[in-house]
Amino acid sequence: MLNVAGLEVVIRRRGTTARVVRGLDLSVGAGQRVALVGESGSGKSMTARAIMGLLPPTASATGHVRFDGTDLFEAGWAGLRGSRMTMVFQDPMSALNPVFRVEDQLRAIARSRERSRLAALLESVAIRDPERVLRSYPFQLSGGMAQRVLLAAALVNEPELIVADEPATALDAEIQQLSLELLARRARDEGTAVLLITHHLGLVRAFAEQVYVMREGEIVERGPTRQILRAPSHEYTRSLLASVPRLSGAADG
Amino acid sequence: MAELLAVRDLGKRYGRVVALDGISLGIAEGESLAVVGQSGSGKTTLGRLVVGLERPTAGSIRYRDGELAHRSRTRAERKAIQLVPQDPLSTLNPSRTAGANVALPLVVHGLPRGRARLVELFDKVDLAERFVDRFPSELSGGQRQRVAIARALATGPRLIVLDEPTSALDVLVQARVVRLLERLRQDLGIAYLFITHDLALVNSVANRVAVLYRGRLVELGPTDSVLRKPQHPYTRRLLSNVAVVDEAEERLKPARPDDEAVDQEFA
Ligand SMILES: Nc1ncnc2c1ncn2[C@@H]1O[C@H](COP(=O)(O)OP(=O)(O)O)[C@@H](O)[C@H]1O
Ligand SMILES: Nc1ncnc2c1ncn2[C@@H]1O[C@H](COP(=O)(O)OP(=O)(O)O)[C@@H](O)[C@H]1O
Ligand SMILES: [Mg+2]
Ligand SMILES: [Mg+2]
Repeated sequence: MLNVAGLEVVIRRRGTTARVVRGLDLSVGAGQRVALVGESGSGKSMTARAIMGLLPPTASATGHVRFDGTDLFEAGWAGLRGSRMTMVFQDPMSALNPVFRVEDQLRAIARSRERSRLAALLESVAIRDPERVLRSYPFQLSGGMAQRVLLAAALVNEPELIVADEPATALDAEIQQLSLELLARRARDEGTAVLLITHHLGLVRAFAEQVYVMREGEIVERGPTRQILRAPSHEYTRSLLASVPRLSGAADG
Repeated sequence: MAELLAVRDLGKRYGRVVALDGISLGIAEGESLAVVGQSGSGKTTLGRLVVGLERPTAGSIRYRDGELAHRSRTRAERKAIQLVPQDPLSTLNPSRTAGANVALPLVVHGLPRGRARLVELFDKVDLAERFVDRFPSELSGGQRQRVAIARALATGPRLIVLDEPTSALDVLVQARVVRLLERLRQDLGIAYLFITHDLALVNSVANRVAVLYRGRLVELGPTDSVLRKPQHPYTRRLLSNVAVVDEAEERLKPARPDDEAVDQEFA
């Protein structure tokens, strides 16, 4: 579904350029759950934005991003982004438009506009009173509710690819788990390809079949999640693993 | 150990919203007490009441021998209890240097605020002198959080309320900040009220843990026993949601109780 080859992202700042993604290869098949993991600043969000065609004006990308066989750097994202491929952003509040009610935001992007379908969609992301939420403005929602609305917005057009960039990281574990369960169900039931971006190997273990470990713009290790977590071969992966807080005692990262 | 702070039957309402209800807990000198709960459970409200940013609508807050709940605090009391607020991005003034941000409480309290004092405070949080002159936008998330900690240290507090100090950081940076906080506690004998939504983190940061659910205290005990033998179904639910990295950790997690069990126990 998604195939990234030799991706390079360069950012210009203060007259110099920084290579923040360096020759990255990555694939996500239909129905596959894949994670891209690394510390902050390693280039995960820039990778996601390059895939979605949403890089900031100071950044430029080369290489290949193929969606369903089409090279997006040549063909562009028209007719794809927001419908066949969607993104869930890290900060739900800043991703929602503050001056529109939830219903209007969903209608603005949804192919089908029946109210009953929107309500059913909200129910599917574990919103118990969808009618109230549809009438609400973003500021009237709790962080957890806003995160679910954002997830609903990413799902509304039944995309074939979802890129989720650290969904609900700053929120609680329950909302985080819920988001991942919903994405996993989409992958299983609808064959949606899902790329999860995170710094937390615990979430990778809970969610992904395949994992790519990224450091300073490069993939340092990749493979089946179980294998990488059991026997990480790269020192960096081991330090990420060691930093995850333990129920059994202090992390030692 | 002597009790530093004790809250009794603490309550806070915002109009019809009951944010906190009947909270009683104590913190000893130099102790770190964790407060956990999911978002909206009242953690930030508890922290704001303890540092005196807001007044409770019920109950008492004793610091050493003083009852603080329903009066303005003395200068000494304000210096003694400091806050590292949630959200390291918005907590620093972006138009001032990191040094000017840290100097602000020194100015407010009429304390020495020369360059030497700032360098000393930056050194406490492992930031080199050159960071004094940087702007917040030029710092990484972990560096900003260190600056916020240095600012809280400036008045020589006995208790710091840390409101989700690592929630916005990645796991590597989180581990470093946690180690720094533990070292400061050992060296300076400061007590912490360590607020977090991540139950897995509690082991690394506190000896005792208080669990909040919808504004009420549902469990309070030594970290070890709360994690290994959680008494309240809500604590079990929090534990069941922790994302762990191996099978051994998985076995420490209880099965997820259904929502009805949590609500029944709560009623
Ligand atoms: N808008 C921007 N302008 C300039 N540099 C940026 C911008 N956003 C990110 N960067 C830089 O690009 C690199 C990669 O960032 P990012 O992809 O956001 O990392 P991650 O998502 O893994 O935390 C970092 O060095 C960061 O400082
Ligand atoms: N200033 C306020 N006005 C009205 N309600 C508030 C205010 N601050 C907090 N609340 C409410 O109090 C409850 C507890 O919030 P908070 O202490 O921020 O929880 P937490 O920090 O655990 O996420 C929530 O229901 C929240 O909406
Ligand atoms: Mg990012
Ligand atoms: Mg809070």
